[in-house]
Amino acid sequence: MNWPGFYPPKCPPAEVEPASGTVYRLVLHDPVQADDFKSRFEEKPKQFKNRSDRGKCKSCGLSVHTNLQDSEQLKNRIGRLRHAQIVKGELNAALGVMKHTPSRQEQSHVSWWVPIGAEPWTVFNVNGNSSEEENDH
Amino acid sequence: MIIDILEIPGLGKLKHVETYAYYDEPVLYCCKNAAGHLYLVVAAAANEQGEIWLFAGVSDTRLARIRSGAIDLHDAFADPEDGSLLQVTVPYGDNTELQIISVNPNQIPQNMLPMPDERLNLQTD
Repeated sequence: MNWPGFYPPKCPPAEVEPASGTVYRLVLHDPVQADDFKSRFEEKPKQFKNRSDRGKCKSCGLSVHTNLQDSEQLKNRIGRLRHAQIVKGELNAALGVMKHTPSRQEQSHVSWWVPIGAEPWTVFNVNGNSSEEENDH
Repeated sequence: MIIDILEIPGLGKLKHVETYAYYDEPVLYCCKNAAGHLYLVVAAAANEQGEIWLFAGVSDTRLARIRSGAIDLHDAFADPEDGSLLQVTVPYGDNTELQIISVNPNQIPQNMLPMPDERLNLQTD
């Protein structure tokens, strides 16, 4: 799997597993767009210049939840995310690797690293159906 | 907003203490400055100027009540201990300075605040 050139060394970390399963992500566009899947590191690399490689790697990952309630709770708590839409997607190994990274407030939080060439927006849809599924019909 | 490299005029260099919500980055967290003053910080909004963050100064006692859920997240910002909040706008451009204003919480649109009755539920000494 080829990772973006801006990833720091040893990123993604060793203790990951192939992306899989149903996940939820908060996005700003309907239908979802490539911009909805840009990491903070990709958006603002200069902000990370003094961070450790581990910190940079974490910021190269995307946040998703495996439990819809965690996404809903986040919308309720964070004003910037209040108008975001929750999209549901079915991940597969071609879409990268993931690591369960729970916190006390977000038990289902997962960090997800997306390889070069993957198009994650094709497997997410605001209404819970992936774009690929819609194209099949 | 990467707080460990952020220096806010009037507050100084801030050190991360604890994250309460993370989404691609910390979006609700506590930090403190060199003098030991604690701030609860939330990602409040984004507009054409940049991303807007709210800073509420908190005492140890009040932070403990927020962490335990005795004070909800809405009131943590809508009814701050010292009567005002700092609104920090982080522009999208790399070379633009932060915009910082002190605001009365009554001036903050409700949709920038956590919703009422959203509470942390953390064990607190």
